[in-house]
Amino acid sequence: MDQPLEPGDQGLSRGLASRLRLWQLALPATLFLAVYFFAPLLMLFWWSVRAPEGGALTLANFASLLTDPFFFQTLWLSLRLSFEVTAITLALGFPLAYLYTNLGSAARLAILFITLLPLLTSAVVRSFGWIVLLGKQGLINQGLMAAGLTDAPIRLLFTVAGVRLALAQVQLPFMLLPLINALEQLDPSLEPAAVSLGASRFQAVLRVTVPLAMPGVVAGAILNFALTMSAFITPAMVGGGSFIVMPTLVYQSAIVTLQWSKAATTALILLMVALTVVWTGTAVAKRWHYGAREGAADA
Amino acid sequence: MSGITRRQVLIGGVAGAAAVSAGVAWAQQKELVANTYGGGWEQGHKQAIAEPLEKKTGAKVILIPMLANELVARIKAAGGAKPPVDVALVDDGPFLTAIKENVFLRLPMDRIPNAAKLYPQYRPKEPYGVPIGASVIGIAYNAKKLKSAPTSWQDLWKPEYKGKVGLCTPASTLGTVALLSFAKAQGGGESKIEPGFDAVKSLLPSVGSIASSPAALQTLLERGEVDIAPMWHSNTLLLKGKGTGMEFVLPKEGGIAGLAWFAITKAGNLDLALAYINQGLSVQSQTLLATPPFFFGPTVQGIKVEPQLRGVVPAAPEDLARLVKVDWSQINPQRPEWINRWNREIKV
Repeated sequence: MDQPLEPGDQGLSRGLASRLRLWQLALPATLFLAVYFFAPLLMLFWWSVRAPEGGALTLANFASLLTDPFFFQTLWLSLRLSFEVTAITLALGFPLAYLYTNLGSAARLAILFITLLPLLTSAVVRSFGWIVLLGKQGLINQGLMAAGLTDAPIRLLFTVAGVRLALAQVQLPFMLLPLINALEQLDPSLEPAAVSLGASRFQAVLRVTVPLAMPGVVAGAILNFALTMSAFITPAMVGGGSFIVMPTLVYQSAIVTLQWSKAATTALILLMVALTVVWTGTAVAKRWHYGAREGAADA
Repeated sequence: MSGITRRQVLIGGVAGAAAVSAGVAWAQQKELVANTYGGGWEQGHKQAIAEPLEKKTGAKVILIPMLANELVARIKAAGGAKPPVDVALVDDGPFLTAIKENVFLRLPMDRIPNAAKLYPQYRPKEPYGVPIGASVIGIAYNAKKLKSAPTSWQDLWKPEYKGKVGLCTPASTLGTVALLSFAKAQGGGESKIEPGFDAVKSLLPSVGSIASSPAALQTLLERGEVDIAPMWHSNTLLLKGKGTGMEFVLPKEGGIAGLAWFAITKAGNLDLALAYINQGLSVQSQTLLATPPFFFGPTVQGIKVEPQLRGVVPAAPEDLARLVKVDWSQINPQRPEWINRWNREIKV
């Protein structure tokens, strides 16, 4: 049915047409995101700049939150928690991922299974497990007391430390998997090469493997940071009612007190802060990564 | 391009979609969605209301566990579109909020014959819902672990309970009511919450844990993380039934009465919803719901409650009359401020 194209146009049009056809592949995902992600985001924005009673545009919602010291305390707690959980999962995840790439298939499967296991359990059951473990009558406290390390039980449950631990446990896979992916792609002869040139094994890992694995570190860190910033159930169950994080604040305004303008504003500020951290972190890591590469090339 | 043209595909798609939505419409006639609160509520409403109704009508009843606050927020979020449930289960505070948000239907009471037997004191001022069960907030304590039984809210401050007291945040009805009860015990009330916050602050050295929901508080009591706490009678009796040694007492200042309401959402499935509510108020259902392990106080007349449960399960309005009523129309507008203040000031 199609008319043959003018010979001169053919190459260009064909290229364009095939590129357009390629883009069509992204159409379902684009539509999906437009409907279920960007539209709600726009609504959130709309609610945040409207007076609670509706009607006039206003910045009052932002003003009332941004002049509230308690809001900043909560934001700071969420940020701190996110950095800490990311640091813990990185510290645990990197050695584990490194070990993984140097092991046989059975051991690999065991590592994956054990770290992924918490993800396969429902959040409620997992949180109940933490109560059993961290409570005053819990296993950890009973163990400590039986060993004579402490006389009275230590407060672990319903503390920030408990939430940190619980989040690090469930989010470890989100650090481990990108790291494994990054390490697997490295040429296995790089480290022996570094060693043959006089580096110690530790130096080889630190100065060759780690810089080259940076893309995995960045990906894992972004995932962990974002997941902790938005975590709601674990802080609610393991953290109890003694302190609150940003998602709890959003939940209270949206669900308990039906203050949707406040909920939307809080959520937007949370999103903007998280995006800023992620962007800055990625930019710094990129510069460092390429800097390290150039340094390596110079040397 | 022979065979199927784009237009044919389009028409086919539209026809298919129409067929699917027609199917949905038909299914809607045969399907009822209602929320429960989980735990004893879910089991009770399944056995006492959903299953008998399914047998009677051949319809399918889907029970989803969802707390009142979240439900009201979701119905509001649905706007005019299909709400998440046909029949809503809500307690006093959220019930008033929902009426104010105008998300419930004015009930045709003449189409709920069993509602005629409701205790007069329980009848709603305006017919936006019917009470399905009466509950009481009092003190739960572990009789196996504590030497003496509490008799008053003031007893929570006793040195012997130090470190063993549990609380719930005012984001839940339980926590709000406890805060208010403390205020009332110190001469405050709905319009003067200050003494309540002062009381909670002075109680903090005794508080072992603050839970974020009654369900979490129940877990803490069961695990022995805390041994005494303001609690709903039904949760407490559930724990007692598990052999934990948990007992329920009404403080001498009076426990706090609460009703759970059934309401029908707009654009819901009206016929089945009315049948569901009517079933809930039937003698069989109310009797079953008043027995272990559910313990919900009946709201219709003529239901027998086991003698040993009298005094705990509110069996008649006289029982509720001995309890303290709280004014949710006064509480609701202030609740955001109370929650806000609790977030800031109450830390263990």
